[in-house]
Amino acid sequence: MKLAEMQGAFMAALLDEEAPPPAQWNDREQAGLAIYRNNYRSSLLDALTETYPRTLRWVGQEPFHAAGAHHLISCPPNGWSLDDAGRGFAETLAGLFPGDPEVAELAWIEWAMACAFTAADCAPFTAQDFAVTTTGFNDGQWNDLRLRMAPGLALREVAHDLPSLWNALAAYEPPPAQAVLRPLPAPHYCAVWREGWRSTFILVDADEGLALHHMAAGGSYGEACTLLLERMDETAALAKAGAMLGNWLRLGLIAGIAAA
Amino acid sequence: MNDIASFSGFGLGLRRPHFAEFEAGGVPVDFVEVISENYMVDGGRPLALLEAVRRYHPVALHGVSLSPGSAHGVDHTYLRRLAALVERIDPLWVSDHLCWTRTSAHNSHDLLPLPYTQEALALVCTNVCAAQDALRRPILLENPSSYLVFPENEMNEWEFLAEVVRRTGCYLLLDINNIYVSACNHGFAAQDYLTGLPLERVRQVHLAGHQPGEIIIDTHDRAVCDAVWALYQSAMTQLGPVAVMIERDDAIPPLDSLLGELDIARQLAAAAATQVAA
Repeated sequence: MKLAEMQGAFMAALLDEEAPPPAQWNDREQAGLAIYRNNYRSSLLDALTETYPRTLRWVGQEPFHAAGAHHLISCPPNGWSLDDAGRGFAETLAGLFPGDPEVAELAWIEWAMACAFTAADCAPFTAQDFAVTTTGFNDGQWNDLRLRMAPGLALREVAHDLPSLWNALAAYEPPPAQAVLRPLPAPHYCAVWREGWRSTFILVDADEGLALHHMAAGGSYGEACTLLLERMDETAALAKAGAMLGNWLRLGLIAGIAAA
Repeated sequence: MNDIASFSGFGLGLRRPHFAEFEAGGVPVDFVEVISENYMVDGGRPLALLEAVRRYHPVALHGVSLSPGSAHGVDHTYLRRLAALVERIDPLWVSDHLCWTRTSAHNSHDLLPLPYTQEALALVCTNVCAAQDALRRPILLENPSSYLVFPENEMNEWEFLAEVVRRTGCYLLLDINNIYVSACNHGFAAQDYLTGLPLERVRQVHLAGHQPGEIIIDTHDRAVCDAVWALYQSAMTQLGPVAVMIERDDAIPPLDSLLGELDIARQLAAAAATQVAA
C-alpha cells in the first residue's frame, strides 16, 4: 500500500470506529490503533471542554460529550491548531438542541471570546482621537465615514439575557434553568471583543446592533444612519447615531478610522 | 544551512499553571520550551507572556503540527506562521516529531506512526528539507513513542531516523521516555536504539512519565519512572552537551515538584559525567 493510501485509511479508521483496519493487521496492531483512536477522541473532547466550559455546565457533561463526539464526526478538525477543533461547534449545537436556542448562543459567545483572546493587538482609539480626526468633517465626510473595528470583534443576534446566564454559570454547579434563563423581550445583538488581554461581551439593542454589524462589515456611517431612520423617526435616529458612536468608542470597539 | 550550537542546561515546558511564576522571572531553569502552535497567533496575552518569559530565559520552540511524515507534503501556511514566530522569539531551536498528523483533509492532532520504508524515508527527508528552507535553519526531530509497528517496515526506527539526519542535516531531540515506551511496546533493546543514532546530533533531551500496561502509553501525566531515569543516565554518558527538560502535559503539579524532578536530572547528569571521567 502506498503511503498516501495508508494514511488515508489510517485517518478514516481514527475518525470512524466502524472503518475496517487494513486486512493484514493482527490483534496487536489493532490494539495499537485503538489507543490512537482513543487519543484522538479524548484530546479533541478535552479541547472542546476547555473552549466551552460554560456550555458544558449548562447542558451537562454527558450531553456535552455526546454533542462533542457528534461534532468530531460531522466536522473533523482540519486546522493545525488544536484550539480550532471548536470551530463550528455552536452551529452543531444549534442542530442538536433546536428547542434550546440559548445553548448555541452561549457556545457562540465562548467561541468568539476564544478567537478574540488571540486576535491581533491594536492601540486604543479614544474619543479624543476620534474628535481630533473628525474635527472639521463636512456632511459628505460624515456620510462616508468608515471605521476600523477592534480585531476579533464578533456580532450575533441573540434572544436571551446572556449576561445573567453567563454570570450564573461562573459557578461549577449551575442554578436551575428557570432561575437564570430569561428570554429578552426583543432580539438584541451580542458583541464580543477583547478589552486589554481579556475577552468580554455586551448586549446592545437591535437598532445599535444592526448599525454596528453594518459598519463592522465595512459599511459607511451614512448607511448605518439610514438603517436607523428605517426603524425610528429622524430625531431619535440622530440621537441614536451619536450615542452609539460614543458607546463604541467608550467600549473600545473602534480601532481607528478606515476612510472618510 | 547553519549549524546548531550545543547548549547545556536544564529546563521545563511553559504550562498554564506556572505562567505567573515564569512571567515574574526567577524560576531556576536554564531554558524554557513552549509548544509552538500555542503562540502562532495574531496577538493577545499568549504572545505577550512569551515575550516576557523570553526576557528571562532562552526559549526552545517545540511543535506538534509540522507533520513531516504527511504524504501530502508540508503545510506552507503553517510554515509561514512558524517562521514569523521564530523571527519574533529568536529561539534556541525549533523541534517537532518524526510522525504524521494530518492528511490533506483532516488533522488528527496526534503524533501518528510512520511505516519505516524507503518511500516514507524519501518523503520525510523532502518535508524536513522544505521546513528547514522555510525556517532558514536546521530543525530538531524528536523520536516518537508508538503503539504499533507496520508489517511493511523495511528498517527499524533508529536506522530511519539516522538516515533522515544524514540526508537532511537536521538534529535530534532525544526523548528518553519515548525510547523506553516503544522498546517495551515493540520488544527492542533501548540501548540498541541509542547505539544506532548519531548521538553527536542530539541537542535536546526530553524526560516524561508514562502509563504502564500491556501497551505502555506516553501520557506525560506523572513523574519519570526509575527505568527511564536509568536509561537517561546511560544516555548522558554517551551524549555531548545537551539541553535536558521534564515534559509534563497533564496532571501538572506545582512548579516546585517539577523543579525537584529537574534536580534529579541534574544529579544523574553529574553522575554520568563522573562515570565518563573515570
